[in-house]
Amino acid sequence: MSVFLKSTKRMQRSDRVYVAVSLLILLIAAVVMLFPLYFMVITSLDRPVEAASANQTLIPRYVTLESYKFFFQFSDHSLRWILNSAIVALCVTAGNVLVAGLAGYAFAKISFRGSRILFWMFLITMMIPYQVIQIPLYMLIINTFKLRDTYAALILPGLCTAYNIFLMKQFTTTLPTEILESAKIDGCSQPQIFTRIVAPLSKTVLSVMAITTFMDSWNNFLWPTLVITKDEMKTIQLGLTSFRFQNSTFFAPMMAGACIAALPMFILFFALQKYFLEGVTIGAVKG
Amino acid sequence: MKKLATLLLAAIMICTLVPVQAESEHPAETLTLLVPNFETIPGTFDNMEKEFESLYPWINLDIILTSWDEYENQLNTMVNGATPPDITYPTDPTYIIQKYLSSEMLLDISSAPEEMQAEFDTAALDFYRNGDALYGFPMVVTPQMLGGNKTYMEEAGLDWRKIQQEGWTFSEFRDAAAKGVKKTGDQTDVYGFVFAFAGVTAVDILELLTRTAGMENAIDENGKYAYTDPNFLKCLQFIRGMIDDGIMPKESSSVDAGMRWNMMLTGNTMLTGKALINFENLAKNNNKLLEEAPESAAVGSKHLEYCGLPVPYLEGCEYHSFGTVNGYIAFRQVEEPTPEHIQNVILAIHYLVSNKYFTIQTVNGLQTPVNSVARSYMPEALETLNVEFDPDNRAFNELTSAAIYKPNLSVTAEQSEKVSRLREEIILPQMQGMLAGEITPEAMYEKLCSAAVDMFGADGVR
Amino acid sequence: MTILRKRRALRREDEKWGYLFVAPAVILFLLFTAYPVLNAFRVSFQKYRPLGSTFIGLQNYKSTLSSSLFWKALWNTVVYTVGCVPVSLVISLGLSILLAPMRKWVQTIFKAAYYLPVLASGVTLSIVWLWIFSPFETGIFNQILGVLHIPSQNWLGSSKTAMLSLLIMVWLGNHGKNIIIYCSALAGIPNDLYEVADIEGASYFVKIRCIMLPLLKPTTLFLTVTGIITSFQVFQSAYLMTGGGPNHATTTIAYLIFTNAFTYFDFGAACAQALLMALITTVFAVFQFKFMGSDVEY
Repeated sequence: MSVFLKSTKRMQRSDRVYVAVSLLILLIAAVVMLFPLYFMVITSLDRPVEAASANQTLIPRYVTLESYKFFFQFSDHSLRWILNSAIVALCVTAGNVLVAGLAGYAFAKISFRGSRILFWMFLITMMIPYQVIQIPLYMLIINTFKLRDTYAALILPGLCTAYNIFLMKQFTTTLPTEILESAKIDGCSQPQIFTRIVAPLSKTVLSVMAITTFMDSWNNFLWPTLVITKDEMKTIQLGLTSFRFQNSTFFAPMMAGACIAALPMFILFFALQKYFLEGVTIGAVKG
Repeated sequence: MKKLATLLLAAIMICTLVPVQAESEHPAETLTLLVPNFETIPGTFDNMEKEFESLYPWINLDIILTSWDEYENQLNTMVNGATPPDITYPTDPTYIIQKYLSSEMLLDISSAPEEMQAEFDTAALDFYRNGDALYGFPMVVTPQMLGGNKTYMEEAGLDWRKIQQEGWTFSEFRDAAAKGVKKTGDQTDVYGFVFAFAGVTAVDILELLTRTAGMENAIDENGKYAYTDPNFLKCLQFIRGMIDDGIMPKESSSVDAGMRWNMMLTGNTMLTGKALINFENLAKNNNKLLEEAPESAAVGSKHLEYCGLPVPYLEGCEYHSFGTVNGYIAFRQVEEPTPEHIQNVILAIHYLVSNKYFTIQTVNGLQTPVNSVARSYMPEALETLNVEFDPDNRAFNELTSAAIYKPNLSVTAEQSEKVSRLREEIILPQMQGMLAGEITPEAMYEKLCSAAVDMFGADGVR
Repeated sequence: MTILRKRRALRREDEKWGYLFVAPAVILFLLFTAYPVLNAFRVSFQKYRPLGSTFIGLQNYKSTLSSSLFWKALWNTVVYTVGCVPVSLVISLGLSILLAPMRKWVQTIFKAAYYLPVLASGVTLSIVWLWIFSPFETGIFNQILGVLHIPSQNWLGSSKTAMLSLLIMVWLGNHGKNIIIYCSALAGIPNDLYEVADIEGASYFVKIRCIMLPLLKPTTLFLTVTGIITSFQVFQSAYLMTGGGPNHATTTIAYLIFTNAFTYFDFGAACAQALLMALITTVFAVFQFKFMGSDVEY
């Protein structure tokens, strides 16, 4: 932190100027980056009438929640969309935490034949771009299993990602093996070791995994758009796109819809900020 | 004893092997129906479902509603995912039929009884044929046209009634539209003509213009690809010329469907396209809102007296309007369709095009159904009509519906695939570039010609 | 039981649990990852039809490599990647360096502010940016440029500015993740290094050049590689905002694969293209590691 302050730790005038200038630059950057979100919120508070681009302003002229109402009334299933997203995201998150948690722990701390090969198998697939898997996966889910328009189609493919396994393994490796060894000698079985020792110690990593997985699932658009055709099964992202295509001139309700789609993530973020910010760094920064 | 028991056992086994279907005449079946939401009168779909249920209780209709914009994508996904809807309501039957010919997923219903087929206007029914097969039934003819602001036109000294009755050529159109342009300095307040070009609708205007420029079908009666005709270049130059002259906005490539109507409402343009018959409805509704509840009307909109107008035709060509014949077509599933299934599909489609509720909707949209059974409901439907419609527009609508082009019924799957490819890979991207002013009409025409010759061979093109 | 036997029994017991614990993950993997990847190879040699595919050998590959659209899409993707990754790294590094000496609560506020756009989904942001980029003079972006006397552009409608628009979206919003990572890495640099530099009378910029940048190299490498891999797969903005146009100006490889697969339903060609794309990405990543990571232990 004391990059610029001399070791004498006395704030000189040049340092003050420096800090002021930095703050200014940081502030400008923040304003620029938050601008689209600001625009989105401001416009969503406008009235729900047909409007062309001739009416974009930066300062709100009306404040009303009518546009939100309009968005919800647009389809019988507007609320269901949010529910669908929630169900899918929760299932995927729970699945990942459980399956990747167990697998990561096993790879890290349990020695069994073939664990190295299996782990490398997972690692390599992290490098494969999604496009390669996308099409055969589509054929599998739709043609072979005939799961179009079902929750299963949305949940199953994402139930356990290689990245999460990698994450759990990296973290669990840092846990001291002696604790586990002594537990084993005391007669604990592996499941007991996992639930009583490893899981509590991995709370941070698992929370982080849960949050990032939830966010990815909530914001996912590509896969749901392929497998969902019925209105009542759409996720909020799909519903928003539908609305946009049908009502391109009702742009206050469109922004309202966009706000609704983004709001849960914002709320989650502010509640669990620490985990979000930490989660981003795991795996990227050594130590 | 033993022998008797064995015989009895055998008899019982044989009895259980006999299909239980012999008992009920109609085995239950579920048909999926993919429909863009064209309900304009609330409750129509519900009423229709109830009546259908009572008439044909063994058929369960699973209705999937979607939006107009997503319809094509959704249908595409379903058909190519080998789980097509059994019945669907295409936005443009000729296009859809030709698109899916090669997938072999269309269901031929030409086994429908003669009397049933005779109920339809032949011209409309033709839109659902290809070769010997019949792939569906039509419901109503929907011509596409342009729309205009009566007040502006009268101010500019244009006789819109005359234009409705006699039509206008490309050059007459251009001159007329130019009169509608109003500027303050460099800023254009009112454009002459606005058309929706955004994204994939970029080629919509070509569909309208080629019909009135002598290229009615992509593959003409001689089996040749028609868009290499020099008239095509004239169409391109016509469009580009209007942008260059300032009659059309230079940001045309970003004008989408919503915007083209919005600009009419706010009085920013004199003419707009493409227009549908019910635009008159929309205009009247907005006018009502302006009087009664101005805050709910479209922002910045003004009172609009609307008139429908024909698409301009190229000098020397006959006027044929472009339109869709809305109706239903049938698809087959991966399993070979049984005769009962085909029968059920025929019954379902016939009901859909001829039932009272849809007829009421059709009539309220100022159109006439093409099925005689449906037409028998018209007097009742006309009574529910509660909006006053302009007699000039009404006459014009009828005129245009009667002048719909004739589709080419002998297009093969291979030909239609090539036509699609050219459309998607050459015409659409080049059109986007031309609208943005980066490609000249001549360059685009050259590119299309050489690509067409590559695809069809030198004598496969006009 | 002797210790040895007990240990061996424990190990066998362990093995059983080991397999059990990884079983669900492995099953899911085989079903939803391994099988599709292998299938992709198989399908790339076929011509797909809903009622049954036919084998056509290397034709898909040949037609892909000879299609000018494929090379254009590749070029677009490279342009996009080159436009995104270095710029994002520089901006996020710069902001992180400015942020690092601030107090904790100041850092948290800014980090949250920068990260918010990352939380919003691609769909949400594309809707907002679509409006911002409206080509008429009254579009927000054009209004802002109007203040600087730059004429209004047809952002998403002209092939000259379409790709630029997509890049601007990234330049102006998408740095939250990188900033947080860099901040964390910077915090990990021990203070003594700076103190030593002070004693030697080093200036601010020297400190950046000789202390921060070298020590941030592993982070930079990581961000570059992941940035390239992610940028290469860019699809959503093209799909939701420009439809790959105008005139294929924003058709990226991922977009091409998607249209081939789900508009034309030419699964065979799409798989061939996807595999080619995977090849290119892998080569890139390997090259990156070799080139930049020679002196980095990671």
